[in-house]
Amino acid sequence: MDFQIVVLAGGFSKTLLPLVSKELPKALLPVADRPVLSFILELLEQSGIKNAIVVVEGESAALLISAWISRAFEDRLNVEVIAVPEDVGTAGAIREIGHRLTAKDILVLSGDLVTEIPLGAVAAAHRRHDAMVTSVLCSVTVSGPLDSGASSAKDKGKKAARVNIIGLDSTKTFLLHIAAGADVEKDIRVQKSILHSFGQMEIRSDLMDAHMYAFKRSALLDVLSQNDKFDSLRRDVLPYLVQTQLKSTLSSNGAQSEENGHDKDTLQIQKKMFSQLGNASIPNGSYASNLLSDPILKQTHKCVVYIANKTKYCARLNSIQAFSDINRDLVGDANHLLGYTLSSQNNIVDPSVILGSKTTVGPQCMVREGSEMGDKCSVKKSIIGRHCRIGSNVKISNSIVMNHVSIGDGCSIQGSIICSNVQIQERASLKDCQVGAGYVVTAGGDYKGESLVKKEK
Amino acid sequence: MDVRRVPRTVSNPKVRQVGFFAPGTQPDRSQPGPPAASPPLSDASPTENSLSPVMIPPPRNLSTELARQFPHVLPVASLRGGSRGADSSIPVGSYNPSEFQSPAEATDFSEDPSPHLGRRNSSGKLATSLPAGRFDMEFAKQNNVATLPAETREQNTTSSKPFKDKTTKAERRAIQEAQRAAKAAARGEGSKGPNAAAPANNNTNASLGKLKKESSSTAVSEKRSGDRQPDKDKKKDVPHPRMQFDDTNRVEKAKKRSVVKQTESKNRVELFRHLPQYEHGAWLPDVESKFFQLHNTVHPAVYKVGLSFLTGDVSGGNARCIAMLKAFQESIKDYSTPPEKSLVRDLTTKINGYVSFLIECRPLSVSMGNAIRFLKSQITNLPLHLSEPESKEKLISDIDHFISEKILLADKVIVNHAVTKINDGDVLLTYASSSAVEMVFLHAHELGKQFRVVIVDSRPKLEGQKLLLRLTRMGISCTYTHINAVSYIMHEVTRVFLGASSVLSNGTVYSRVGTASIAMVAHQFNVPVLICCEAYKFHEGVQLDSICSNELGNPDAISKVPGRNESSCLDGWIDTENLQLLNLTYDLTPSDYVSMIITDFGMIPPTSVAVIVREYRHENLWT
Repeated sequence: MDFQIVVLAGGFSKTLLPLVSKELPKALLPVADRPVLSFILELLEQSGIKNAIVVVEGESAALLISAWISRAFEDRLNVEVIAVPEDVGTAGAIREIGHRLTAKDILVLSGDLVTEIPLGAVAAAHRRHDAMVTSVLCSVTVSGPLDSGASSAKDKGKKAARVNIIGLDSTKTFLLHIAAGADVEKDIRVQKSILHSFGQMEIRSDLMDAHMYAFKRSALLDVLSQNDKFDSLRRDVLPYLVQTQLKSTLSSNGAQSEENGHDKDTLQIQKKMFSQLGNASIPNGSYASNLLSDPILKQTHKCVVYIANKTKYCARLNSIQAFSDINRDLVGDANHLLGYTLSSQNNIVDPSVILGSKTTVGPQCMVREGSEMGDKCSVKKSIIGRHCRIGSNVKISNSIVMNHVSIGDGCSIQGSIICSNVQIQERASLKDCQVGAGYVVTAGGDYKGESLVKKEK
Repeated sequence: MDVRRVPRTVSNPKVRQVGFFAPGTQPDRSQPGPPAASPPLSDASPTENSLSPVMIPPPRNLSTELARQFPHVLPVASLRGGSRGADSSIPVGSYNPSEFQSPAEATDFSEDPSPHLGRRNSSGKLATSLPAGRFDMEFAKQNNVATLPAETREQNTTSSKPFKDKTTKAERRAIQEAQRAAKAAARGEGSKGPNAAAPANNNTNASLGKLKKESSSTAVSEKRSGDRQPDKDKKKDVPHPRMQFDDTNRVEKAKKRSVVKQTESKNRVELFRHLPQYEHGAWLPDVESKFFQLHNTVHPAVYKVGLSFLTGDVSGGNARCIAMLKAFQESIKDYSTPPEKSLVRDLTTKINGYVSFLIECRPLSVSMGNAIRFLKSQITNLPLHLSEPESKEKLISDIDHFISEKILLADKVIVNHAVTKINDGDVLLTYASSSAVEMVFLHAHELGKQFRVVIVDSRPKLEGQKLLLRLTRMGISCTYTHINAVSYIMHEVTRVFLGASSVLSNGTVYSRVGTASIAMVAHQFNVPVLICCEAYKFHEGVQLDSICSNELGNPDAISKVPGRNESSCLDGWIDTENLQLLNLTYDLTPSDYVSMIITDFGMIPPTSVAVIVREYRHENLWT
């Protein structure tokens, strides 16, 4: 279908610092015991896509990721992993791989998405409107009150940053304004010309940018080559395209390739033709009727939005909070993404798990194979990875315990994330902590809201 | 021959002229008398069959029969001094059988009461508006007249045995031997020449009874095989008969084949069961989710067009047709012949795949069907010596020609014709929104004519509103009303202009549902009804009701009134078992209600559509 898929998998994210490490880039961070990248790759596979490009920041991360992909997706997807220098940003990454892009349209996905938005629908919307850029918006996940009782003020700040101020036209097909929530202070500025030509703008703040964009390749590369300073698709390129949708320099610019000029020509002709005779027949949503019903409007390129259905799960793993949210959702409400069947207790416990007497595993839990638990343990709303050894009388709630963790007797773990190979000795108590890989929590230790990382030697 | 023709002549007591005739010359259509013994070759008195100049096409087997009898016909004809050779008889015999499905249908269209074309329009104009057609007509006329006697005579001389009899093996053998004997005899008399041989042959035939058939059929076999080739092609071109969706077996099969999965809606109206009806909501997500899977079968441009059909972004005969052709152009541009395949065949299958995808998105309109047929015939008729880029280039320019000539230019011609029918002070009524009619109004307005437009609209599409918007913006004074008020508003109307999705060869107009009632009311009020329709939308088929072929719209569209939020009794109708909603898209306007059809060939009475269809078809397939 003349579409190329680019997955931006990032590198070693700083925001997820205690969780990621040199051995574990962000893309491979296990979410419900699966690398986060696998969700997006499976989505690609489900959509019938055969080829994809995965862009990774940094050589070492690229090696790790390509090793994993070749293992896990050997016969399923033809994935090409490309390493780009670190800290080039999303736009920089696209600029780096620009010469590899050949298709007419490009679908750029963030590698940390856990979603079920149908990609075909996005691509179809892009094609249908012949858009310059199609941005996917999803409604902000209305997550229930957090049981963890984590410092809510901090969380709210983070959440607000994810929300964007988005202006749509009356048919909810065109994107007229976009501003990241964090950038907005008190007032937002709306371009008069856009408002004038569309007549009406609907401003919404309940939509979230899903970091999934379909671009027209020529336009994207032109914008990137003209504006060297752009380094983020979301913060720079998208707002730029939205702002210039009425007075685009792209079409008139000589930098554009000949083939495109020709495209424009045919487009013009077609427009003319439709306005001549087909106009009766082209109702709303399409450019011809817009042109006709409003002679002022001269949209040179179109910024289309695809608003995902509310029932579709969509989340980005871009913070520690998001990490635990996604984990919780995956074993809870969005468990269909995982593909496991729930047991009668509404949880997923591998048959090889050894549970001691009087140990209970509550609903919305997941315990993977080879883990052992002693007596009188209680696990609530938590995920426990493979081959963990958990002593007796341990209480784990709202937590994520990765693989090969050993937890001594009488520990209490709440709202924490324990990375692989961590050793927690007896009677330690952790609340809202992130424990980096390989860390040893000493016996009887009591931590609250801390991030524990092994010292580099 | 008499046996064959009698039912028709008997069944049409009311006779009407079809096609072109001078206003004065009413052919004598007294009684179906006995076959004239020696029909004169002049045009003045037609033959007993009252074949009006535009012949009511003979039943489908005429061509084959003619062909069969050809060896006998030839000598007779040549004796009579007609210099007609094989090629001159072909135009008569080569009516595509599919054009006229059965004698019954042919009768039907000659059964209509006399045309009212002359009612408000000068019929003299009609005659002149078709300069090109007339020569052909006369030519064909001569052919008819000349062929018939030959045929009658032949029939009289030979046994009247039905030709379709099966011969046993022994009989065939006997025939063959007799044939050989006859040949030998003929050779013996060789000096007498072929003319003499024929009677001899006939004599043997008469004596041997059945022999005649077989001998002629073998003699003709080469000719028939020549005939068969185009026949086959035609069969390929003609879209296969509409699928009957009440036939569960075939529906199942089709489902397996189909690219897009569609769920059929419940609660279908029994009478319209044979039409495809799917749940409208289910289409789009499925097509969309298949986006990346379809790329092998469907070109992106075609996909885009299909999507816009599905969502209703593009609708209307012309717009859909142009969008489709443009998409095909794109796909041809990107096409490259796979190794070890020929472009003609492979491209045809490709196009077939695209077409079936488009059909799944929305049933094809007649205009699209004609355009597809045109494109396919262009592909099959590609000269063999052309290289791949050359043939692609040719096809692309062919499509461009089709669009500019048959659609854009045709519209211009229609507008120029139609404008002459608009006078100052007229009140013109139109229904829904037709692109051609809109152009007529705009052009008339540009010419400074003073007129008023009444736009009649109907739910659920309310297409007239957009037309209203555009016309008022141009400064044309308009009245907008709904179809319920048509009988009231018709008092003040002087002319009705309507668009059409298609015009069938019996003059019936296939158009947006509601058109028929408008035309009927107009007819009642003696207001002339003018149909603006490009000739490429004409269809050779004949349809008597709007049931057998129609399109079902979304039933939800009529159950929900936009802007009204309070609950109605139709909420949740899908669960009510004894309630079915019917949202028809098209209806048929009988030709009685149509005064005139304005087409790119001029202004014609609805009865002349058959002629245009034939001439036009000719033009398409053999140029």
